Amino acid sequence: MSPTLEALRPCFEGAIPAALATCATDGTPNVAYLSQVQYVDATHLALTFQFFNKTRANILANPHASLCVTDPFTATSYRLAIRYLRTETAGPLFEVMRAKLSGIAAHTGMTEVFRLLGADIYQVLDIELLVGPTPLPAPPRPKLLPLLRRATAQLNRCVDLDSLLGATLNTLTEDFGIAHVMLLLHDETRACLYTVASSGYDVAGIGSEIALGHGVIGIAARERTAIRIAHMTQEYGYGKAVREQMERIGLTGQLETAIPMPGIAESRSQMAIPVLWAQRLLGVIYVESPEDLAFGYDEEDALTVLADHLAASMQVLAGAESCLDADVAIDSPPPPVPQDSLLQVRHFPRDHSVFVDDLYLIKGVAGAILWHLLRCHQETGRSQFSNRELRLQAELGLPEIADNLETRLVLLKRRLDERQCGIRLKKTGRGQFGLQVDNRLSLDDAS
Amino acid sequence: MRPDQAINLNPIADFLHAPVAIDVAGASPSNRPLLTRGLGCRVLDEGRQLCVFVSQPRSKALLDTLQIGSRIAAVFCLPSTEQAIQIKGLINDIRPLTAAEQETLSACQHGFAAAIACLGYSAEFSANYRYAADCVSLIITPHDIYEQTPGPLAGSRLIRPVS
Repeated sequence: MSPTLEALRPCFEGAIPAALATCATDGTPNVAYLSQVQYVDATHLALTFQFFNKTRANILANPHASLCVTDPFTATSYRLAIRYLRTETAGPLFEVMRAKLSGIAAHTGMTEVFRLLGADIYQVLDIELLVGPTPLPAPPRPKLLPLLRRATAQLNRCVDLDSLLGATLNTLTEDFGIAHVMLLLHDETRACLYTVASSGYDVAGIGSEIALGHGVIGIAARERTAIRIAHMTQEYGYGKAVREQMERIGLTGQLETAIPMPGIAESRSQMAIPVLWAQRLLGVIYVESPEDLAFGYDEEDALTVLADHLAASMQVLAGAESCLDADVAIDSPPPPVPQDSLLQVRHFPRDHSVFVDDLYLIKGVAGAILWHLLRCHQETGRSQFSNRELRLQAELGLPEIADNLETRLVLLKRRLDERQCGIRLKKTGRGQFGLQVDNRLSLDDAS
Repeated sequence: MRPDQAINLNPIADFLHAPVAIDVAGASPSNRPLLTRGLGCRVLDEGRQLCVFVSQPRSKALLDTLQIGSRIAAVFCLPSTEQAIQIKGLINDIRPLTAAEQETLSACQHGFAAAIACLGYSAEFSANYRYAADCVSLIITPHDIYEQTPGPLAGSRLIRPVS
């Protein structure tokens, strides 16, 4: 029985160059080495099209080719009979291969040489296992199915978005053993992603933003596809992506750059998995490592399943929160506020940015919510609020997206927790939350 | 290609005799490319011939097709630098290894294993990668040499045939 293409996926990580033979119409063969072979599905592969060369001319005239690949762990080699079908020059597969090629190019010192012109799609006609000595043992790998089962069970126990994001972060770090993780949610109105949770970084970076299409996260989000890079690349790093945003006229100011994006300086492996529900982008799971080849196809599969489960859970919880919003929050007496210290809060209505004691805190919808809560608190002494009443506040500018309020409350709560500025949000029940202010407030609406 | 278009391999003999990875391709009568792995090589006949060793069990489809005069291509690549050269030519003979060639094959295998050991691959890995059971010698008359190092110059001719 022929091996399946799935079984060959370790061969496609780029450790051992693959050899590709093509044939001209006059019968002259040609051999080329490939920088990348991309698994597409059970019967298709994609190869990089980088230069107009003999291989290119041959496959356009004669679509049959022979490909030899080797497992970098077991040394098992395979010969595949493949047939060229078409070239894609845009879209998810192209972007996956372009990102991966960028990493390979940087790894081999050929950043200026390797530019992807297209992803050549081939149908796999036959797979031949090449005879040889006993394969070497494959390195031990964690069994991903039990990890996934444990992870989805953790997510299933969550009753609100905040705990759901916490559980996702926890299972990725504790169960999957990934040291550097970021969870980002999608702001559809501003075409960006903002960080709501992170682990393994010096600063959590809650509220930091990245635009769709920028860096590995932005491209995974824009293309709705997982992007995995096995070698360090500057092209897809955060720092560069954010700098480019700043430099672009018209984008400056649209994205929040006052909060630095978390990230490790020497990220050698990166993987961004979109969180999708019915093809709607809810967010991105991002993981990275200072080691080369830290994540393989199997990890990509596992985190994609986890992301799908996270998306479904987010939808269910958003629906439940909306249904169970309390009509009116029952207030309780506010805790005594120390009278000897004053917290200065300034609000700029143009973008709803909020500064606490002259330090930037947050802006946008989350900023508008905070300003509304603080004003109510100061004017009426209230400290208990409901999601429903916030939904009815037109001044908050909530887009008509069911889960937007919930996600913004989570962002605001986590940002306040991170800043420790004397203001906190605490969930007090289904659709209800409490505002805790440790000092007297001085509110300044800088309109 | 005519026999008088043959070229001399001596200028690149040192490179070919280095611990290079080798991949060899021919084509079926219906122009389906047939690929196998080379296990070592030696420049012969004062640079006019090239001998490439291949394993019969791993090269059955190719060997079933090749005959004297068949077109053939072989790429030689230094794993440490990815510098590569492609030679195209015609099959002049396919025969069992001589005793001297058997020694050459062993030397090539050891040299290659040492070269990729620097890249982190074990001797066992190398033995699997270049499985050398039941080998034959492909005797090739070269006609063209091409640059094959990855990059925009890959595919450009290095040595033109003598006209």
